[in-house]
Amino acid sequence: MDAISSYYHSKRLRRVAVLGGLSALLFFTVIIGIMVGPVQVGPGLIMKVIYSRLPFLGNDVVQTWPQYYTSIVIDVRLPRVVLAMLVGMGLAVSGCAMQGLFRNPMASPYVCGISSGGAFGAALAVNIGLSYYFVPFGAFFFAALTVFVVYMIARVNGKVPITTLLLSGIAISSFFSALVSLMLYVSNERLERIVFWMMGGLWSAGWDKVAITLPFIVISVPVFTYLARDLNALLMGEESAADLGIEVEATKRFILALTALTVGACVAVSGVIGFVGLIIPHVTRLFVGPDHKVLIPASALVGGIFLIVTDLFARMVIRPSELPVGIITSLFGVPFFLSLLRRRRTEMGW
Amino acid sequence: MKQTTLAVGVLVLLLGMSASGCITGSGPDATILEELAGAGTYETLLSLLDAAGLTGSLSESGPFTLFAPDDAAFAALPEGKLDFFRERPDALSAILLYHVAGEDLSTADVSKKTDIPTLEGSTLPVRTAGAVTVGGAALGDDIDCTNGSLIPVNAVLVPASVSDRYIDLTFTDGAGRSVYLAEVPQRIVSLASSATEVLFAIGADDAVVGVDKFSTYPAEATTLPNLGSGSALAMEELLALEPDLVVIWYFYGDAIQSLEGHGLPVMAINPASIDDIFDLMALLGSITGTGEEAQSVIDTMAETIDAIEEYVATIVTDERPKVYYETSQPFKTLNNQTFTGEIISRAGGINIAGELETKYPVLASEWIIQQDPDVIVVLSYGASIEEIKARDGWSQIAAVRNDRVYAIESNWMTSNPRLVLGFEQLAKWLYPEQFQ
Repeated sequence: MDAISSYYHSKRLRRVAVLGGLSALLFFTVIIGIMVGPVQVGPGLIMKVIYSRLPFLGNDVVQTWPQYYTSIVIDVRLPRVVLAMLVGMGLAVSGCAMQGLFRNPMASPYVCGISSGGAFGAALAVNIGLSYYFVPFGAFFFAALTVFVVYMIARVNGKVPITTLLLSGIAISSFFSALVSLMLYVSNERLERIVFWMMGGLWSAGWDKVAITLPFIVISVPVFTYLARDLNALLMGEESAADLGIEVEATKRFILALTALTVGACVAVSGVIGFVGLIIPHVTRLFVGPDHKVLIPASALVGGIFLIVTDLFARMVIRPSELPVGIITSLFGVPFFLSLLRRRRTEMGW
Repeated sequence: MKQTTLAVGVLVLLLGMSASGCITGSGPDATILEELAGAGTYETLLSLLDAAGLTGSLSESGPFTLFAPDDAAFAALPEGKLDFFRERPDALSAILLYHVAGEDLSTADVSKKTDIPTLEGSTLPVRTAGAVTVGGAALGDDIDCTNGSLIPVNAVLVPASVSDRYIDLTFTDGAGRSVYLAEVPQRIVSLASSATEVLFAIGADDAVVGVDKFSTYPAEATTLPNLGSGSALAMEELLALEPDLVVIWYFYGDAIQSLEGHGLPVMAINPASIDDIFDLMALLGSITGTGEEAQSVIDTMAETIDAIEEYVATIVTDERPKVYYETSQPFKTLNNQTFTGEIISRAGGINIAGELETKYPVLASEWIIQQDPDVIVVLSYGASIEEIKARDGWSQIAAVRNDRVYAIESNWMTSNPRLVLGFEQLAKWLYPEQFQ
């Protein structure tokens, strides 16, 4: 009895330690992200600018700096770092949930067509000349719609076998990619605006974009964490999960829907940023193990850290120009991931 | 060869007509041909007459007046020109017949006329102000012959029927390739919107038989067969049009290669500056025989540009408005190495990204805020003006504060004759007090 309780005690301690450590690292990354940018603003001044904007506390601060520093720090850099964090979290946590759900290391928001559906929605909105304000909603709507369509196609006799789901996801994904290519071909002049969506990036970050994404991330990360027990059970196979008292089909539906909403919210504000949703859960799993209770929140934290750091590179490498962050995520992330994979491939947990 | 046969026929006819009116007496004792041969300085002419099968007529029938260019006159032709005409019998006989009048004229008779009908069909213009010339060539003393007269001229005369058709032009195109055109193209396929616009602007549109999908201006161009684009060419349809010249952007290397493989003359274009556009207009003008119209369009454009630049030169660099120019993608701009960049700076704007290394950089929003541009210009199909004004942190930018954010038609800012509209529009936005 003592042995068992101390086992669980140490496991909980470990979880607290891992998540606490990662949270601290995320906080530190956010600070760095705000401090560093193409326009050099001293750390002291940045603190002062932010302090001056705090409710009550900042009221009696006398502004001694040019107004544009306020614009840069408050309206450009801060929302960008926050958005990078949210998108990184959203993509990583969705990828993690999908890999658990499909028991397949290949699963990611891309494989199920969510991202290409989102890109299609954005491209469509741009192409039919909708106002910029509606473009994210186009992306969001089609990301969610794609999942619904994939789910409906994959359903056989009220059940959704994982293989059918994955395959129809891949098929629908290719279909939407083809539609986007077609639109690229016919759009001529608007082409670049669509390319912007396809490459993905955080150029257009702003508080309005943060407002779109924030609610979904705030909801999905805790809910996915809450579903960790179900995901753990699903890892053992659908039959066993059912034996453990899990409503397999209902759980699948719910997780898929939540993933669709989360990824939709990410694609809507940042386009298609590759790699994060696939690799971050794997990297995290290598360090914290396959238990979704730790894996899900840890993936979210690592995803946030990763995207802030890569976006920082995207902003700084050829400043004042920017690179699409997707290039950085793949260029730096893939070699790192592969080296991990080679060193610890026996511990992947699949 | 048909034309030669016809010409001989005309000569024979003239022989019959002139026989009745022939005055006999103590006069010349040699034919035009014999005089030529005897002089020893007309070897080239003689060999050409021989090649064209005209010697028989010139030694027997008459009367004619032969304006005879000597060997020096032929030597003065551009290198290779003579061989070029030798290889084209119809052109050669047209040129030779252009030197023959169907009547017996002395140098004095010529000076009393304003033009002389030739056996070629067109007339030789006579100038009598100062030294007497025909078709621009100075005359020597006439030599009376049994079948007419021989008047030496110091230059080879080329009729319009030949010069309008045969250009015999070699030039280096926009891809650095050497292109040779023997004849003025009559069936041009333009796979480059810039070239299409230029061809229409200089009045050479009759020769255009097909265009690419980007050639949408002027509207008439869209009624022509659409052949896709340089990267996805409707090759079968293109070949069916039997073009004698294909104009294409220099960067479609694959298409250039495959067009050449089909034996088509290809001209690649790469206009990278306003001067390049003027050069392209002049080149297409001389290729299509619309050189004069091309020059007048160029002059009109240059006049507008010069007037603006003259004013801009009076403003010191520090006082010129700073410009942020956004292309179709958010935050994407261009530096001064680009066509649009040249228009911006020559119209008096300081491009905030002008000195950056990348040609088309995507800028960091915060850097743009720091640069604080006075004027923002965005492509009409890029971000909307409202979108730009609403960007986070941009309300502080001078251009937004002062309501100087404008949308411009993209084709006004790139390599085609409409750039002059963009140039003017930009000047109006940058210096409203001067150009409004």
